[in-house]
Amino acid sequence: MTDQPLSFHLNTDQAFIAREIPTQRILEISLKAPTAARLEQRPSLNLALVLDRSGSMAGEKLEYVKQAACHVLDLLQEQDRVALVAYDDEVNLLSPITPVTDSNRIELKRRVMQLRPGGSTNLGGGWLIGCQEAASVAQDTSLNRTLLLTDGLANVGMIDLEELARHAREISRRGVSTSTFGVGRGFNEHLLEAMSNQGNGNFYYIETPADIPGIFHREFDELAAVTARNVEINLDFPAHLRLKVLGGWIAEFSEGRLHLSLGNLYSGQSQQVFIKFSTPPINGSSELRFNARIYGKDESDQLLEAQDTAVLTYARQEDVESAPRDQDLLNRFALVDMADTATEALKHERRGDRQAAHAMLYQSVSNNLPHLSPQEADEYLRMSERMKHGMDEADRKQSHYNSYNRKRHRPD
Amino acid sequence: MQREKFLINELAQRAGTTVRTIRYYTNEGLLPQPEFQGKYAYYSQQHLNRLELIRRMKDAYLPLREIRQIIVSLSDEEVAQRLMEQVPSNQKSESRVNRNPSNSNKPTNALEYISRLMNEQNVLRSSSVSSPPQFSQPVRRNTPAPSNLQVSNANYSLVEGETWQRIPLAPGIELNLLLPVDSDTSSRIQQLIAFASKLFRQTD
Repeated sequence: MTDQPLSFHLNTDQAFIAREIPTQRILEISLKAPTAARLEQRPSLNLALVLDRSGSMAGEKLEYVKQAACHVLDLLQEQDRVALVAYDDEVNLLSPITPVTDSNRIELKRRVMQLRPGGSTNLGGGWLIGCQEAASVAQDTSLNRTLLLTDGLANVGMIDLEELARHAREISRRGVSTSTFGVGRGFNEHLLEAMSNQGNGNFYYIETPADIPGIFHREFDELAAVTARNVEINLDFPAHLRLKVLGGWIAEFSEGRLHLSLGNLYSGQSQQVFIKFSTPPINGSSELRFNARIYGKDESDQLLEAQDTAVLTYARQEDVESAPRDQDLLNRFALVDMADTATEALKHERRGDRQAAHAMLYQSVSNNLPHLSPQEADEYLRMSERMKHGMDEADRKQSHYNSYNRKRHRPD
Repeated sequence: MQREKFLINELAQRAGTTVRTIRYYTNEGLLPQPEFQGKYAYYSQQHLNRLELIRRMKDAYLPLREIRQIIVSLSDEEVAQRLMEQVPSNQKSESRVNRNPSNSNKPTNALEYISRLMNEQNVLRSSSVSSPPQFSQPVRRNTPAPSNLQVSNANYSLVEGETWQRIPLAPGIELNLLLPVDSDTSSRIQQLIAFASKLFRQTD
């Protein structure tokens, strides 16, 4: 296998825009992380495992969590460090962050196996202690991440979605990312997705407790194969445009510049970010220009960098309307647009605004219909019907998770 | 009283924020609607004051929901008064100019950020952290052990071995719960909390 460098491209659905009327355009940023042939060079990992031991975890769920934690301990090596945090209404630091030597591993496992279920859910407190442990040993070249597992609602300490997500953002900006794992039917999927989106990590819905070890393994494999760390994109665009970024990415605007933060990418991982905008009618100008630059660090802390430019040319309205649009790009866009809308509609449905949820999703299916496969259209129409009558928890969570995976181009 | 009026982009510039943020705050009810004259919307000194107070509360890591509860309860005069009371004027002008995090006194690394957040949380709300048992092998740490996070157990009253948990539902309203609870009760209580938070959000 040969190593391939970072690839980075800007594309639009069509290169022309109308002078006379506003034109809707879609910009696609697509990138692919470098592929590394040799993976033994992986960065050292500083992981904090933050485990829910609230009363509702009792039984099968907690047993699988223990098994999963022990499994992660087996995968980690001496170069790695781990902290163990268990929380119910209290937060217990079972082990401060410590190197995973053979002798430590035995003691760590013993502490995991002693976990007993307790009271309610101080999710925020447990998560913060985990982040603190990972941060205490963070280095420029290490990957630092808190894995937060829960089956319940945050109901003690910090409980506000917006607040937790903002802190996840600030902490990931400072070097400790967050992935979240929701087990069963009692957790808030929108909170966990927001924390992982803003925390530059991944979100997982674990329907069946028996899947817990497999999903922890997947998270570990992705981390161990990271070839591009702290990936960020600066997109310079004509300042009079208003852009909308799809997919829940961390996006910050300043005058004429969009800053996107994509976190860590594993070897060969490809990702697309879609941006929607409308160009006003204009006299005089002949083109609009988008310049984008991507940068990050590779596994040996060397700078990764690439750039690309997209140019839109003004033309007569009738020429713009008769020119072909990139149908493949529009199809890819429609999937993410639908998934974004479904996430919003599911929030309404969860709050009890069933009619609004239904109408929002139905409208979006109508708009995207030419670019959806019959199966996809059917799936969303059925979902919009179920929203009318209210969904059960398992359906909400599965539908939300499918949308998340589509937005992020992750396998189900 | 100043009678100066600003367009939204002028307001954003003066407040050191963005047009999007102002629109968002207005939609969320944190800022009063602007005055409309023809197709233009005009903002006043009162909007500027409220933006400044919101920024300070955000710097204190208050969630937007709580900020809204506070800010809608204040008259324009009270907002102005709070701004005068809270920060000496020299510090105020500095924080307004140096909005870039690298220039300001914001924590720069994750550990500082988390420690500050924990201190804030301990002041604003009660929570409980128990310290770890000693690890049998020597553990190298470059930070103090988390025993400094130990906070008061004020939210627990131990009566004859009973442990009660206080769950805040809304400002001034709490649910008391005798621990431990079984998983069935726990899920019912979660429903109750979800319902209560929705109910009290509607009334504010």
